[in-house]
Amino acid sequence: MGDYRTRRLIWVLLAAAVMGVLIYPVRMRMLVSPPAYQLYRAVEALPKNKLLIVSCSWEAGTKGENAPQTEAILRHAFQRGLPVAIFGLNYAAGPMLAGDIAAQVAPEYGRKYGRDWVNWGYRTGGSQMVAGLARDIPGTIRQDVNKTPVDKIPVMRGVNNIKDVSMIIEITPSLTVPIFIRYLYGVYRTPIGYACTGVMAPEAFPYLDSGQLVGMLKGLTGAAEYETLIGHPAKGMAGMGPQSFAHLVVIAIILLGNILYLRERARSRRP
Amino acid sequence: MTPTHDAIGIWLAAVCTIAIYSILYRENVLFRLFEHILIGLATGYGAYIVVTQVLHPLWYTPTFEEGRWYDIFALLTGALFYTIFSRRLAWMSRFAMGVLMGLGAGLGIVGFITELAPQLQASFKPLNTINNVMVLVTVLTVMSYFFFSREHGRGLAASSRLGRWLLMVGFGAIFGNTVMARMSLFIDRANFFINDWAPQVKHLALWLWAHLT
Amino acid sequence: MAWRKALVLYAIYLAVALAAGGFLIIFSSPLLRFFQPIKGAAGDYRFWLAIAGSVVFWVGLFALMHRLPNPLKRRIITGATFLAGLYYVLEYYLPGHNQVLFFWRPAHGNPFTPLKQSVGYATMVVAGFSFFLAAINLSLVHARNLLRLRSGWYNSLAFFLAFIAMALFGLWSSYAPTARFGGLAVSRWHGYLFQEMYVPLNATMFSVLAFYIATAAFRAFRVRTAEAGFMMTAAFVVMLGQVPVGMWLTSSLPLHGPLSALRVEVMANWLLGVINLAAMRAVLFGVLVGYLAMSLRIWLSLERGAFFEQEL
Repeated sequence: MGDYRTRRLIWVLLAAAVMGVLIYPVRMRMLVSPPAYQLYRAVEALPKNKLLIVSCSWEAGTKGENAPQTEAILRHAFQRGLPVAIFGLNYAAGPMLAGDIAAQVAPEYGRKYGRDWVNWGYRTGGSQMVAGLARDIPGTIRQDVNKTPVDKIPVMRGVNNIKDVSMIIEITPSLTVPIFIRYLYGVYRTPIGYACTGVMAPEAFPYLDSGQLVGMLKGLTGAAEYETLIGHPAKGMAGMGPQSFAHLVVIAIILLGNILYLRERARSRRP
Repeated sequence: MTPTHDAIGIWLAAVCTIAIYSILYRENVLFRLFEHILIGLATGYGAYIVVTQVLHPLWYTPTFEEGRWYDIFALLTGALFYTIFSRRLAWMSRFAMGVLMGLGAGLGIVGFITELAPQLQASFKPLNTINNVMVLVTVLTVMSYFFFSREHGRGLAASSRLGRWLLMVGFGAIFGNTVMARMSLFIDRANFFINDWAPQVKHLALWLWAHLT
Repeated sequence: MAWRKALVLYAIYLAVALAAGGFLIIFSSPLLRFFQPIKGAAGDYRFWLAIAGSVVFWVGLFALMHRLPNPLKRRIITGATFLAGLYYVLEYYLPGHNQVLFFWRPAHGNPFTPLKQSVGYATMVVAGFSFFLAAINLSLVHARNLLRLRSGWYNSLAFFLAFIAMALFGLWSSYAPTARFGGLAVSRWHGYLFQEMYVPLNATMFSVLAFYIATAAFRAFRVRTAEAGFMMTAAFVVMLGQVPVGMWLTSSLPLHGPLSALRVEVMANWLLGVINLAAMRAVLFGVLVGYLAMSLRIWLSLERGAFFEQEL
């Protein structure tokens, strides 16, 4: 019973900390980490005559992290006037959710669907599909989500294979980025960017160091850093206040748990 | 804002969210019901997306509208998977699975080289900075920790112990990032409650107040 | 003795592959003429003849193979797995255009490379067809619950209603976007189901983990050893170093110079970018070697497991 009370108290504290900061926002300054800055610089340097592929292999479950990342990256691409193609590998909902975000953001920069960006939709096949995509993009993709053949979409004109792609940014909660690293960077040296959930970030640092990834966004903080860099604070920055206080609560909980544990241990050792 | 994010949509989302969060209070019928609704919606969504974005444009249109009759073999190969439901014919599903797995395995052998080579190269940095020395020492000591082919002598045991310490730092970083990730997901839902649902509750409360008093 | 037997077997597979390759090269022109799209498509009788012929051929082939003894069936499956994997291995390792392997410089490049897109395309479509296995399995489980009115049968009913509604409105809004149902556009129904039910349900299900990780941290994260203390310190530094409040805590320290190393975000970036990087790289080496071993085992059908051990 006591254990249940403790659990609920922790949950109430956590919810109160997060919701309290959402109701009374706290303005905080965000410093940018090197991986986010590297990704920003890589996108800044992209040529405008090649396609930027944004692979949105994420689901509604990780919307809290991946949606702000997708919005920040798409904003940057639309700001710079880069031609963008969205698609998804692992999860069926990803391209649709990303497409909704793009449809909201693109008009702010005067970008039109078909002329400046396209949504290829969901594709099965994993590694084999990516390996085939490198050879022949129109032949592999064929149609967009609106069933328009890709050869009739203006933004896809001149895009034949991976050499016509400037970069691929993979936004995902799962470990699908090695597919792009192995079969696109490894064979064709296509630059790969990565926007992942916080859980996957530590495992991706070796790829960042070896140059197999040009940059990385880590979870919601990564989105906040990118928004800072593009000068458009949005959901990422708005989440930093609650994130900060949630971390403080967790740290306090861990310390409290250890203090209680040490006290219990000292008590049990007393004769 | 999508067109369905109106009052009805927001209340629907709020009911769904509260139903799932009810598990935090205790196991209950509402949570189980909405959990099954989620599974049904996910399965239905996956089915219709595969039909409209994969099978129709990539198989039906080329086969029946462009005359690529040989694409029928894709349907016939895919149909082999469904023989798994028959004990007598189940071996055919293993044939189809074997081909797919063989393709994946062949690609995996290729991927091993293209993924490993840059990692090996990046491990051997010039030892002119403390960070580079730390990277090399950490890689070697952590690898020695996982070396089980021989009994750890004194040297290997010391290296393995250091590797374990450094691995703990990595695990701490993973734990910290995991906490960060989970909290972000809750922040998204809390944001929905505060910024989307709370105004609807306020409208409803005002409406009720206006009509009942 | 077993390895000799395996060697003979793979030699036979390679011989079959070479024979098939030779056949394809010799008869490439007539084969290419045969496998051409039929212009009239579904309106042309020759199209339906070709479809019928393909179905008869395929069913006949598998009916014939079905009559073979089980060991031979197993060999066929092993051979098909091996040949499928052999394609990508040869495509990567054989020299391409302007490349040399020892003294061999192929005049027209790697013959397997042009097929890469077709193989990827075929895999995509076959994987798409196999999706419904999951849906059928789930439906069978819930149908059993519903028909036998087991405890919680209403949950299974809810599953079916949600499944049918989402699939129906999804397909309907895709193929007849202007259609209406119950006074609302079908796309709106689909929007309510997807944006206002599926997305919040999925997002909330994952977000519950935030609470569980908080209680897990309270109950299980005990600093019993120095190593655990090390891990906890690293976790705290990483947690604080990636959020503004942590950056604010050490904001009085300079951004450059030796004291900047004590800033929490600098420490966090160092822990992640040096120690964690190297530790994860070491783990990655092991993972990659295991990945190669697993790939080889699957390619050569050496793998043992529930699926592979099923009786034919």
